[in-house]
Amino acid sequence: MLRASGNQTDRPNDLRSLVDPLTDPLLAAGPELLAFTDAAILHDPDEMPEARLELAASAGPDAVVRAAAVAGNFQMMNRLLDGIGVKISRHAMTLANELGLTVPAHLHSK
Amino acid sequence: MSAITIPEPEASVIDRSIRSFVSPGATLSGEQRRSLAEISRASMADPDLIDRADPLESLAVRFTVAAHTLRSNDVAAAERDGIPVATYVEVLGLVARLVAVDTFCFAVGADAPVLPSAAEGGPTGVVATEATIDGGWVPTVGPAWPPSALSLIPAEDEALHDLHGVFYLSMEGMADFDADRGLHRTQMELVAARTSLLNECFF
Repeated sequence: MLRASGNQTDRPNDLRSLVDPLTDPLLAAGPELLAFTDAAILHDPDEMPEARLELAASAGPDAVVRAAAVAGNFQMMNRLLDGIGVKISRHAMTLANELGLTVPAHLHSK
Repeated sequence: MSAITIPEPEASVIDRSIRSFVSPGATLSGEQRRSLAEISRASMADPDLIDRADPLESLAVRFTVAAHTLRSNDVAAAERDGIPVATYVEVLGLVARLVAVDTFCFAVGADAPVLPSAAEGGPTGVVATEATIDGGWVPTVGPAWPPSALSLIPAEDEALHDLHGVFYLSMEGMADFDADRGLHRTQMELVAARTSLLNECFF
């Protein structure tokens, strides 16, 4: 969806930033969003306040609310999809390969 | 900045979610649901709680801290442990929504909402009898896919769509690649993709 939304709206982005912290996502406040997400999902009480502060300084408090909400939403969706065994699409398989990720066999589409 | 003010739509959906966690569900009482929510929360700090003697509690912890390790035979194993598939789906929905709420609160610097006392009453028994196995491990109404993940249990399904629409986008709104809600859609997708990667979820 990141690639699709970037292509549809002519906003360049670099998916490699998802797996490589040295790669710039090329999106406004991209590095701050990644740091914020990491602190939230890894439940890091030391990093969270600073990450929140930096995202707010870079993109404003509304951005903090939305980033927190989207992270929460995907915490939910990830568990649901893992829990009911939804297979991933061929497109997602291709993308995973592109990023050097190994998709477990039980998620492969037939 | 210690905390961010939570806007009304997010505050309201969190309130609705919290109340649902302690209210009777399709197969579990409000007290049972509240207890599982407490165990799920405790496991976020202590993942070793996965080794609980009670299979339902153990399953709730697994949904919380190790969902990526689930396989198709875990549904059958749960049934052998006396957990019907409808309860499996109900607890999955409960835990997944609780983690969403608690992640949001932690990220904005707010305390996790206190779970109120359980509402009285037994399970409602309301399940979607038309649900069938259609590409997933559990019955769904239509193909197993994100919007139908909890469709076996209508109350959980409705709560999922409620939270999804407020926190991210409505299922219909997902077609809008230029959406802007404090973050542009591309920025939202960056957060979503990184979250999935950290959870070892490849969807």
